Amino acid sequence: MAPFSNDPFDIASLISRSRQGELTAAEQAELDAWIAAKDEHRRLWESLHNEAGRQQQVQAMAQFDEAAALERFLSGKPAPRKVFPMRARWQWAAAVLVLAFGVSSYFFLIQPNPSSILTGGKTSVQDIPPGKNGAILTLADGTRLVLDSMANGTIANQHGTEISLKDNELVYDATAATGEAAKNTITTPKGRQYHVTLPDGTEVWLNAASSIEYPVAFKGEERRVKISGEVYFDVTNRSWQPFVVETGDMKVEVLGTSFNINAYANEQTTQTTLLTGAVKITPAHASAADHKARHKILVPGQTAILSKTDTPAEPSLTVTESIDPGKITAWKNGLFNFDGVDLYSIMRQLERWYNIDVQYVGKPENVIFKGKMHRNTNLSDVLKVLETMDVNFELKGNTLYVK
Amino acid sequence: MPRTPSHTEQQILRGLTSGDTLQYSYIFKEYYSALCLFAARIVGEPGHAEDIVQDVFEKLWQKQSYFADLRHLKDYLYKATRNAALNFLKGARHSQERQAIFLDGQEEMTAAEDLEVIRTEVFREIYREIANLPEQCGKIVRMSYIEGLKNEQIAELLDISLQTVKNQKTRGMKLLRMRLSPVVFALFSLFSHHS
Repeated sequence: MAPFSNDPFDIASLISRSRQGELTAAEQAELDAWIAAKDEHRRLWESLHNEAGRQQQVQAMAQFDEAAALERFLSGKPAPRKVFPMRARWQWAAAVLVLAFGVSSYFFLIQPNPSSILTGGKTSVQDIPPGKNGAILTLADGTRLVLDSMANGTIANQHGTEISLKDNELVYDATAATGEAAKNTITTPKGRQYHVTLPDGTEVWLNAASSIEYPVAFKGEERRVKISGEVYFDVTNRSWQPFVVETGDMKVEVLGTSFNINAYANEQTTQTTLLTGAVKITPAHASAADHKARHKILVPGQTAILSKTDTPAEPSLTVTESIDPGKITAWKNGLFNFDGVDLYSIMRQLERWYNIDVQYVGKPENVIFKGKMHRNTNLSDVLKVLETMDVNFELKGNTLYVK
Repeated sequence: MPRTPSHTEQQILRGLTSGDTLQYSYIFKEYYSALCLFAARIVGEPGHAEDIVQDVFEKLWQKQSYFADLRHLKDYLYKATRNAALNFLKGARHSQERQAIFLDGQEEMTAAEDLEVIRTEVFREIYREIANLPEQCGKIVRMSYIEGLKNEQIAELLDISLQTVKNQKTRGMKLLRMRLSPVVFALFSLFSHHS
C-alpha cells in the first residue's frame, strides 16, 4: 500500500483535486491508501459523494454572513460581543408573561404616589379607549379597503396576485402573478396598529399613524419598501436580493435581520435600532460621492440617529450604543415604555395611540418619566399614572389639555 | 508536498504583516464561513461560532504575524478556531456531551478533528467556487443550490426566462467542474475585481 500524508490539508487537497480529475497516478494511489487505511476515512470519503449531504454542507456554510462580518470589521466596529438571542417570538412570549403578572392595567413608576392614584386626579368622567388592530389597504389602482371591518377570504386580485385575509392578517399569493408587480400601501391611522407578512415572508409591525408601501411580489435586484411613522421589521434572509427600507431622510439596507425604524414626521430625529443581524444606514440626501463615506453599519443593540434639525445637505448621522432594545420595541409587544422619556414625547405617543390632540396650557415642566404600561389601557388610567408626577390633565372631547 | 510559494501568495502573506486591508479581506472571504462551520461543529451553536471566528480574525489582524506560506496560515486559522471554540466550551458548561467528545487531546488535534478539517476544507473549496462564479451565473447557482429554489421561481424572481435560468445553471455547474487549479482561479478573481 502506498504511503500517505498525515497532514489533513494534504488529504483535503487530494480530495478536491480528485473531484476535478486532476490527480496523477501516484497521487491517486496515495488517496486510495488513505481511504483504505481506516473505516472513518472510508466513511468520510463516501459521505462526500452523497449529493444531498453536499448541498446541505454548502447551505450550512452559507448561513454565515461573511460580507456583513467583514464590513463590520473593516469599519472598525468591535465584533458584537453578544448576539441578542431574543427573537421576535421570544418577545411575544415575554409580553404574554408580563400580561400574566400585570393584573391591573398599570404597575410601576419610579415615585408611585398612592394617594393621587387613589383619588384619581382631575380627569373628567369621559374616557377614551386604547387603540386596536386595524389598517387601510390601498391597492395600485387607488381602491381603499378598511382591513378591520373585513371578513376572512379573498379581498382582491391584482395581475394574478391574490390577496386574502386569514385570521385578520393579510396573505399574498403571487404564484400566478403576471407583469409588473403592483404597489400596495398599508396605512394605520391614529389609534390603530397592524401586523402584516410581506410576499417574501418578511414580517412587519406598524405602529399607529404609520405606513408601508411595497410591491405585491418582489422581483429583480432588490426588495424595496417605503415607510413612514414607526415600523418593526423581521426580514427573511435572501442573500441574492437585499432588502432596502426608505424613509424620507434615511435609507436602511438590510443584510438579514430584525430592526425598528422610528420616522415620525413630528419627532426631532429618525432612528433605526438593530436587534439582530446587520444593517447599513445612509442619509437619503447624501450625494453619490458622499454615499460611501456617510454610511454607518449597525451591530445588534446600536441605534442610528439622524437629526432633522440640520440642513438636508448635511444631515448628521450618529450611532449610539447599548440602548435597551426591549425599550425600543415595547410598542410592538403591547407596552408603552416611558423609561427616560420626557413629557412631550409621551404626549406625542398618546396622540397617536388614542387619536387625540394635545394642547399645552402655559409651559408645563418637562418631566422625565420611568416605567411601563400596557397599551391596552383606557386613556384615563394612563393619565392617572402620569398625574403622580405632578402633571395635570383635562380632557374635552378629543382634545387633551396639559397643565 | 513542499512547494515554493507563488509571487501573489507572497503578496497576500506580506499583506498580513503590514496591515493591508485588501489582502486581509481576501483571507477573510476565503476562510470566514468555513471556519464558522468548523467552530459550530465544536460548540454546537452557529451564533457563538461567528463570535469565535471574528475573535480569531481580530487576533490575526492585531498580531500581524508572518507566515511562510498559505499552508501555515491555514493551519494557524484552524488551530486558533479550534482552541477558541474549546475555550468557549470550557466557559459555558451547558453542553457537556460535546465537551466530552472534543476535550481529550488539548494541544494536538485529535484524529476526529483532523477529519473535520478535511471535510471543512473540501466544502470550503466548493463554496468558494460557487462564490467566484461570474455574476448572473453565480446568483442563479446560489438561488438554486443554496436557497433551494425551483427554476420557475428563479425565473420569476429575477424576471428572466426559464430557458435563461436553465442555461446559466448548466454553465455554472460546468464551470464548477472545469475550473482552473484553486489558487490560480482564486487570485484571478481577486484581481479582476480590483482592476
